[in-house]
Amino acid sequence: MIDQTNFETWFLMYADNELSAAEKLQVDEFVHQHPSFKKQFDIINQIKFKPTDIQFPDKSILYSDQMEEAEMRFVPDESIVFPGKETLYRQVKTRKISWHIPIGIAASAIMLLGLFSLLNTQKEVQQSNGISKVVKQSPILNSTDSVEPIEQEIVQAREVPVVNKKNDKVIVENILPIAITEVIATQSIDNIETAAAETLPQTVSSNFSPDALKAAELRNPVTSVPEVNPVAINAAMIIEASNRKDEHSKLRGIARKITRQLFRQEEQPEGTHYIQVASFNIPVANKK
Amino acid sequence: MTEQEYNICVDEYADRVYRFILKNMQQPEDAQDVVQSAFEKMWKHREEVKAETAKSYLFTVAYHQMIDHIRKNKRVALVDEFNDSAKVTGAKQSVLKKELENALQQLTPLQKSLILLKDYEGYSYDEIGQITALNASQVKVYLHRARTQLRAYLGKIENLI
Repeated sequence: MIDQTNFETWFLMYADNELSAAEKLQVDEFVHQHPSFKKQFDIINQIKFKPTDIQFPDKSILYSDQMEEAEMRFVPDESIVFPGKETLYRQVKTRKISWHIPIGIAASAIMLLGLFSLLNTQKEVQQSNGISKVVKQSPILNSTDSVEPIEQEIVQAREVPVVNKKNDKVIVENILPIAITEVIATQSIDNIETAAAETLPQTVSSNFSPDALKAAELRNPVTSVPEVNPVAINAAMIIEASNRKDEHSKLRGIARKITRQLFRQEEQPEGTHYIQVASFNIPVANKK
Repeated sequence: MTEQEYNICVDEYADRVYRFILKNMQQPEDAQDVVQSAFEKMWKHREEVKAETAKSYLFTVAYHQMIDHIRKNKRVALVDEFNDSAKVTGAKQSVLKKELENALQQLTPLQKSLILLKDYEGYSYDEIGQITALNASQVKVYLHRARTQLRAYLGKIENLI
């Protein structure tokens, strides 16, 4: 119901033609009863825009035939092709990492290491048995028998590991060739003498039979030290000579060194045996 | 919609849509582009558009294209020339009519569209809401606000005259 509080909304809806015929009649009566509102009512109804005679300039462009032509206009001519399409192809370079080669190398290295370790262990066991036999069969030589003092020192130097390692296997491996040992013994003779005096009796310097020494000399003639007395040739020289044939393969030597470093067995003061793997000592049962 | 129905739409609605757009944009070339684009769109979608709703479809498409065009080009010139021109024009009615046209340009594009859709085409609040993506209540409020704004302006002009 129109009243003095909401007349403006009714006037606006009247102008918008959103009122029914009955509502319009109510508005007309309200304006008639309240002439003071007639001016506002007239202004609101003046604010109406009537369509002008404006026309679209060229309707012909809107008709369907023109639209079809416009559609036809945009059909691509597929007969036109780019001539040098091959030059446009590109390929992103991807770096493929092949793991077959590194894995193969690693597997081969592990297999070789294992194989050499196994062979080395067997060989050393055989050698240690042979050396023990030789040592047992050979007579003990006196250290004073026709051996020059320097040669005795060299022998002592070679035999220091014999006492320290208390293992024939270690003796063989720690002995240097004579030509090199002579130089080293000359240079560090004081140290060697000191070490030998503490641990090694003089009578142990040469303890092989003459036949064994001669055979070793024949297999491995020492040309660099012609003045050496045959009596001075000791067990280390013989074992070294016998091992010469095993050093053909450098790979085997490397494998043996690695094996020694990895599985170095030491005896502790209490008599407990350990296997040293890298920096760790792993206790093992005592050897009997 | 058939091809024949489409051509009838051109005859019936091209001028109306153009009038509506031109009153909003004040640029005949731009208004023609908008109308042509609206008819092109209806032609492309003639399979989906029904003849009964073609008029509403055209006004809706044209309205949104116009709004996009205005936003992109910002060519709405909010002229403020009516004060001087009102003082030099002749008859009162012609002055009011011209000032009414000028006052229309003071409104926002949405307000103008609401006024023109209501006055030119006689659309209801619901129909205007469908075209302008508003609901009927919003159309009513915005439309009344626009008319009140115009009334206030015209009252000021009448006092000057």
